Formats: sequence, structure tokens, C-alpha cells
Amino acid sequence: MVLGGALVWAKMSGSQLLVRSQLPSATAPVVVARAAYDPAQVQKTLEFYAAQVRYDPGNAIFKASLAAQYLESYRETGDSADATRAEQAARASLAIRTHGNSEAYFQLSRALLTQHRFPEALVVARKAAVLNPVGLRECADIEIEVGDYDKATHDINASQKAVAAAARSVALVRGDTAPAKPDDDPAFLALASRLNELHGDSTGELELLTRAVKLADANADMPVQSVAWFHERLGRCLGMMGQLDEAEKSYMEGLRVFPRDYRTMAALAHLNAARGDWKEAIDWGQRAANIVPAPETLALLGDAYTALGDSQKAAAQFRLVEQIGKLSKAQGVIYDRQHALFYADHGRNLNEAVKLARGELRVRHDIYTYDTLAWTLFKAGQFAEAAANAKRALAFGTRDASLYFHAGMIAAAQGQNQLAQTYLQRALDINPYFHPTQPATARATLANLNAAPSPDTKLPPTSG
Amino acid sequence: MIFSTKRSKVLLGVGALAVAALAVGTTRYAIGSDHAGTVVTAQTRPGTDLSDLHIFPGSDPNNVVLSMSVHPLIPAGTAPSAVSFDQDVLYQFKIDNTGDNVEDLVIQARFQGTGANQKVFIAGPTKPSRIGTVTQFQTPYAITGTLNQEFSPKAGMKVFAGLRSDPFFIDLDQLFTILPDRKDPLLPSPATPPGEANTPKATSFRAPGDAKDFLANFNVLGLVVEVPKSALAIRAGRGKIRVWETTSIAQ
Repeated sequence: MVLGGALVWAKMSGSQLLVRSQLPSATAPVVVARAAYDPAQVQKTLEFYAAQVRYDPGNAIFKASLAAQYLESYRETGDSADATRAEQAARASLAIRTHGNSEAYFQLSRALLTQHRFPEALVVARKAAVLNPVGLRECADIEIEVGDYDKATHDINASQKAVAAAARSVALVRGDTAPAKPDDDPAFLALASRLNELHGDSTGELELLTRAVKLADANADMPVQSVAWFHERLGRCLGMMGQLDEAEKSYMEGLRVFPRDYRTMAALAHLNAARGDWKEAIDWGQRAANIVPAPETLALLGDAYTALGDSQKAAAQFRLVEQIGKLSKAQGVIYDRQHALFYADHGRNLNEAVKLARGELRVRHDIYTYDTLAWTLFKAGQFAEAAANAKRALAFGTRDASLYFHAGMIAAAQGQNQLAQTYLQRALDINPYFHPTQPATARATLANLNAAPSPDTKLPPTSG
Repeated sequence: MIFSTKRSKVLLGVGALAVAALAVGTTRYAIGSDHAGTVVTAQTRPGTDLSDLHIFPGSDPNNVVLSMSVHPLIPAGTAPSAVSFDQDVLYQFKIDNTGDNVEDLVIQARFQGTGANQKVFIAGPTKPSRIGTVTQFQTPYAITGTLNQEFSPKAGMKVFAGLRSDPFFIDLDQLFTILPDRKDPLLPSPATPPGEANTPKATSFRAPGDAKDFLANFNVLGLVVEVPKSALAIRAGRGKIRVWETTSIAQ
């Protein structure tokens, strides 16, 4: 239909407000409508880049892109073979060209980090950082994993400065009036929030993650896996603050955009277990384990069946955890910490648990490795060394109820009743839902400590 | 709503004042493309990432076509409904027809919704109410279009917004092989990584037949507008315009 220009303009003037008000306002919080999740998308894109590599075998860029796609696949499947393939593709890219090839360095670093090969990953991330300041964030990410918190803080600050400077140069050259700020980048916000978390600044952590989620939700071009990841981070933060309903909302929103997110399913299993809803916990745990049978998830399923009185099914799950432990010995160390905690929580293979935790400490010295070692040593009856490691785990004031629970039980075992009371109360204050059964243990221990005269405190003067 | 310019792309791409000249009857060819301009643009806001601007004669000798490529590096095979324009971005062709490098006319596009049903709003060519890097969306036509479907917002004007093969071509990996020390001029100067030879491994592009077009299997989002030359105030025989394109985000 051909309309006269004048007519259209006349019409327009009447409907101008209507049309303009239909357009979304960028200031309002936006959750963009996304295309429905396509479970085959990651595989299709992977095959596309594999085909590009065949199309031009000497092309370093395509090989780096292929590495990135293997890592995307890993995020969906948890298949460690994908991490190995990503490593190979990234190395093949770097074999063609190293200069300017920050993308291949990034992917190689991530592939190594995925395999918990921390020192190698860091070396590679440093090379990426030389070429691109965003690489400093990769370094910080790895440094947080291994417990080099000062270096991580330094790298995060340096990356913020460098990225802001680069954005200003870009703006200057291109005549932009709105240079991109590091705060516009949800990945940066999520990384920075890890330092708030470490230092016990839950409010700051929550604020940064809330902003990150808002940015992710508004970005129709962000892969659904990444969007769900931000929701999982936010849910985890809320859950650790004891805000289970809010946490659940965030998890469910993540699953809405990425229904196959096994990490979020596992998080929902833990959340429901903490609520005492064991049936719901089993439902989510089973769904997560069907995709990736992580030891932590299987152990939770075992606990759930135990709580429901089905000892046979519980035993089957626990056997599975142990079998995977044996398998992962052959495959790598990714789940060592989870296995050590499982053994400690369930009073099994305690010597092996301590051995796994000590092994982990050779690789990294972050607060969670100290905590794992403390908890396994406690279960193995080595209280003094357990206490020393629990202290290290709490060195930064991290508001994680589990850390305080572990430290409290260790202090109680050492007869340091006042300290034990402080720690256990702190655990319950931070999050009364930090675990399905341990809060009850904390309360019972506190009750005993309150009832018993403390050997390390003076008895109050008797009256009458 | 006020928009500030996030990206701008001038044809010829050699500086802020470089412009494309379109003399009626003799089109000067322009070369210049820039995919994934910055990490932030490419990864967090690909909808603002301009890659090309083309101007060419239309289907009717009295018409001219302006074509914007944005959101590059979409793998072929990606469903046309899976990628759409950024709803928070104002897409513009800016046209200077007086030779002072200031836009006299703009053709603007905004989008609503995502996926196959994304609505396309077009305004212009019209005199902009604000010029420069801070701009405003002019009143759009009542007739709106849909992603991936040609439509006519007004008589004599045709618009297509949607998925198209990337029109640019380059043997990119070979370029990096010739110039292995190439770095992004916009990033801080890196030290040469130790132990890595900084020597070219090739001196020329591969021969036709051997060369590989890096972009052969990638798509872009194209915003293509065909209007009568008269709508851009190009006078027969001696009209000349300068065109550049911008993407802006709401302030």
C-alpha cells in the first residue's frame, strides 16, 4: 500500500506519543525477551567453528573461537574432555600465532583453570594481560581461587584503570560521548563482588551482583548460560545471607532462561534441603545429577534419602560418591575438595579426607582450602592443627556460616567454650539455614555449652 | 529520550572528519570496515558494533540506497529470529548535503521487542532536532515494519532490517600473519612478550583461490534504506552528500 507522505506525517503527529511511549525506556529496569532456549545451540555453534577450522586450517582466530566453544560446551555438560579439547584448540591457535592472539591466551587460561591447573593458568593469563588489560581480570579470578587475595585486589584495580583508560581512548578517537565504564560490565562486577564476599561485606557483594544481574537481564545478546550464571551468583549470595525465598527467585529466573543449568539445579537442591524440604531437594538434586553427577550433589541426595528413612537409596548415592572419587583420582583433581568434605561430613575415610585436603593445600591456599583441611582434621581428631587452619579460614572475616560452624565445633572440641559459643552463634546469626542438619548441631552444641560450666571462664559468684 | 553516541562509523574510516562522497553518477568507492571494535562493544553490546556503511544506486536511477552493517560475526546457520537489533540503541544515518560536515538530515531506526516479531520504527530523512553526538529520536512513521521483512514506511521509501551475509571480505588471519605485531591502537601499548619472535611470517596476501575470506560464513544485521535522491536533497548532476552512521544509547 502506498500512502502519501503528507498523510503519513499527519497521522504520525496524532499517534506520536503512543508510538514513543511504546518504546522501552533505558532507565527503567529491563528484562529483555529472549528467544527460547535451544538445547542444540551450543553444539551447533561448536560445529560451525569446527567447520571454519576445516575451511581455513591455518587460521589462528578460528582455532581460538573453537576453544571458546568447547568451553561453552563444558559449561553445559561438565564433561572434562571438553576442557581438554579447548586446551588443545587454544594451543593449536597459539602455535600459529602468539602476537596479538589474546583470545587464544584467554581460552587456554580458562581451559587450564577449569582443570584446576592454577599455576599454568595464571602464567597464560599474564600473557593475555600483556596484550589486553581484560586479561588482568582472568589473573584476579585465578588468584582468588588460589588464595592470593592481595594480588587479586591489585589486578582488579589495575584492570579497572586500564579498561577505563582504553574506553576513554576509544571514546576520544570515535567521538563517543559515553565511554564504556568498567561498571557497565557485569563480568567485572561479579569479579569485584568476590572481594566484598571475602571481606565479609555482604551488602557490597549483594549490591554489585544485583547490578550485574540487571545488566545481564537487559542484554539480549548475552548467551543464556551466562545470564543464568549471574542469577546463580546472586542466588548464592542471598542464600548465604539466609534469604532463601529471594535466593530461590533468582535461581528460578536463571533456570527460566537456561533450563539445563545443572549448577542452579544443584543450588536449588541445597536450598530446599536447608529448608527441610527433602522431597524437593531430591527432585532438584536428581535433575542436576542426571546432567553432571557432582559429588556434592550425590552426597546431598544421600543425605536426603537418609532423612526420609530410605537407607538403601542413601547408601547407593554414597557409594556413587566414593566411586566417582576413585575415578576422579585417575582423571584429575577437580572434585578433591568436595570429596574431602563429603568424607568429613559423613565420618568416612577420614585419613583419605585429610590427605585430599593437604594435597589441595599444595595447589592453593584460599580460605576454603584451609576450611576443608580444618574440618577434615577435626573429624580425624587432630584438634590443634584443625584450629590453626580454621583461624586461617576466618582471617578475612568472610561472612560464611559454614566457616564459623566448623571453627565453633573445633573450638568446642578443644574446650574453648567461649570461643565456640561466639563462633557457633555467629554461624546461626549469619545464616540459620546454612546446611540441612548442621544448624541443629550448632544449636545443640550451644545449648550444651550454655548448660555446662565453661572450663575457660570463671564461674559466676553463687547467690544466696 | 536523549541518546548519546556510543559508536560512530564514518565511511573511509580514516579519521573523524573522513566522509563518503556520493556524487550522482559517479560513486567513489570507499573501503573501510571494523568488526568487534572494542572488547566491551563486541562482547557486552554487539548491537552497537558498527562494521560497515555502503551507499550505492538504487533499483530506480532516481534512488539511492544506504546500508548499515551492525552486530557482526553472527555464525551462518544462526536462526534469523535468534539475533535482533538492540532495543536501547538509536541507529542513524547522518547526511551532510551542504559540505560542512554537520548533519543536515538523519534517517533513524529504533526497535521494539526481540526475535522474529521485533518491530522496526523509522524516522526521516528529516532535519534532526539535535545535531552532534547527543541526539534525539525524531517522530517515527506510523507504518512500522518487522524484522527480516522489507516494508515501506512512506511512499517511495523502502526499508529492510534483518540478517544478511556480511558484505565485507578479508583474509584476516593472513593479515595478522603479515603483521604479527599488530596491536589494537586503542589499547595501552603492550610490551613485546618475551621469547616471542616479532617477525612477519608472510609478506603478502594469499593468491586468489588460496586466500580465505574470514567473513565468508558470518552474517551481520543489515539496516538498508532506499530513498529517492531528492529526499536527501541531491540535485541531478551535481549533488554531493557526505554520510556517516552512528549507534547511540539512551542517556
